[in-house]
Amino acid sequence: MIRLTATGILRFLLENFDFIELLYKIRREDDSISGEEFQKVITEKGFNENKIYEYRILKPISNGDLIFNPHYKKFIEFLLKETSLNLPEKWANQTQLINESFTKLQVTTNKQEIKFYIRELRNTIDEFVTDIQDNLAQLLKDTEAVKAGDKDTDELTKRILKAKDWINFFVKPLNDILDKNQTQSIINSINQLMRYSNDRKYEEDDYEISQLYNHLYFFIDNANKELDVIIKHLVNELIPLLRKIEGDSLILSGFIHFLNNPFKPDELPVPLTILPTRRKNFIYSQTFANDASLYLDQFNNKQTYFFEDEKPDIDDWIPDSEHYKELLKKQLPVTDFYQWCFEQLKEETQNINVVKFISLANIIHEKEFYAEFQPNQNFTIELEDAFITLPKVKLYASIS
Amino acid sequence: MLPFPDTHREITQQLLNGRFILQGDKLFDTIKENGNKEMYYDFFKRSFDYELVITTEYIYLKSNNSKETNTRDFTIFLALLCRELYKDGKDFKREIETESFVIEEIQNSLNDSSKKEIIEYTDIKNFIDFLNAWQRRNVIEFVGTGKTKFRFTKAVHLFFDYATTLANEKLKEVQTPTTEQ
Repeated sequence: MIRLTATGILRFLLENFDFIELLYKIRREDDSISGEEFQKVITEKGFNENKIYEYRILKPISNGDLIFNPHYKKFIEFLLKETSLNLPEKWANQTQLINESFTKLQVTTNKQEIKFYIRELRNTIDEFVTDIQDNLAQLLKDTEAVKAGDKDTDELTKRILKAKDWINFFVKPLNDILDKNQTQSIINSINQLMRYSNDRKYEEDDYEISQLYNHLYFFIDNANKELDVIIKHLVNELIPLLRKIEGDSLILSGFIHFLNNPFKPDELPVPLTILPTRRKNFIYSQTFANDASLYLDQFNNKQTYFFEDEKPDIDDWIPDSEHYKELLKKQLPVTDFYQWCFEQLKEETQNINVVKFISLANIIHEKEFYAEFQPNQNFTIELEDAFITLPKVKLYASIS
Repeated sequence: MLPFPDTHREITQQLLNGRFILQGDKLFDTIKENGNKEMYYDFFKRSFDYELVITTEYIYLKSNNSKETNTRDFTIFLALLCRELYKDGKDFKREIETESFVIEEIQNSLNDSSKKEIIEYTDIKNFIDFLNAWQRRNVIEFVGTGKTKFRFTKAVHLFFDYATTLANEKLKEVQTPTTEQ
């Protein structure tokens, strides 16, 4: 008797789990296994019988049968439950039924039991295939209806949720049980069963049993073809359709949410991606960019002032020489002609400039007047734009 | 010798101008090469505080300048276009991904839209200038000669992804019951 250790037991289970699992599956409801069935699987699998006793997986009882160790049973039950596929209950039961019936079929030698398990397998597989076909047809119909559904946000939300639910609770599990790569998938079990029935129909000595295996083989072959069609349907049509409905509805729904408040994207739960803006010169530091921005800001938004050009006052008044000539004639003789001119202009205008003064003073040259200069009596007159120094001139009427 | 590839200047100019570099462009492969990818992540972050985003379809720079409204206007345009296509019973996503659009028709369709008033406050108003700007960014490209038609590039997926993320966030709000205090 070897000394058992925890790691030793676990290593044994790890290395021989397939066979232990087989024993677990062929046990009866009272956890017993007949000695005959045990010997059959030991021989078929070439397993060392003593190891089963050493590790106390099975314990012989008085009638030659063996009983499955309850501690191992609970542990294996836990392992199988934890690693089982998360299927809808109905499919989980059917998968389990097929696996169990198949395992039992392989170990039994009893003709009646063989007939019973073959019948049970045919019924379960038939029920399974029909059930999946019905579900798939209904789902496709519903999916098409949803695809053509209404357009508002609530409808879109419902549609997204429905597509998500169908994918998670129907399509994914269905995909799992039909996945050939999954060891626990129904398609895998069915394929194994087909190979087994093919072998048995040639190897079986009993003609009736051989025929039963023959029928089972063709029945499974047919079911397999139908499942192939379903898988293609699922992979090529339903999954892409549901994914598209879900994806498109999400995009549309997201855009509609965005359009409800497009000018306040900050209030949305997801920030918009901001792209850099085209620049001719690169700003290599954010600090520099901020400083430059601050500096440039002072030139922005300045109020524009308009300065109107002052209208120049154009004083183009020129004394009327004829008028002053007549006035002067009446006042002759005048002792200081230039002073007289200045006085006359002062009466007419405030701005006496050189042009006005000379214009008037020019009448001195008229032939009606005779001028007599007084030497050394020059004086200065302050005009608007100049100081002019003039001689004192007496003016008389001309004799001629 | 600096560790830059020969096309460094072209890469930085394009990305800093807010342009998408698309899969198929030789610059795309250069950036994705081992060593360059890490270098450019670091380069754009340290030099400009921009995040380099590399997907299987395009590469672009992400700014954090919240004053910019460039993507806002394009999102509005794409959202309106998808909405109009969907209302017409078309497979809007497939059309956007594969078809080309006649500029005049799209302009008319946007003008007839019930959301037309939104456009008035955006750059979409000057439609040709708007398309030119997004052509420079590599998000659309003109088809044929004469600039009468355009189609979207793979970069449009960035905006689809945004809408999907937004919808999923909104769904969470719907699905999470608010707890009353």
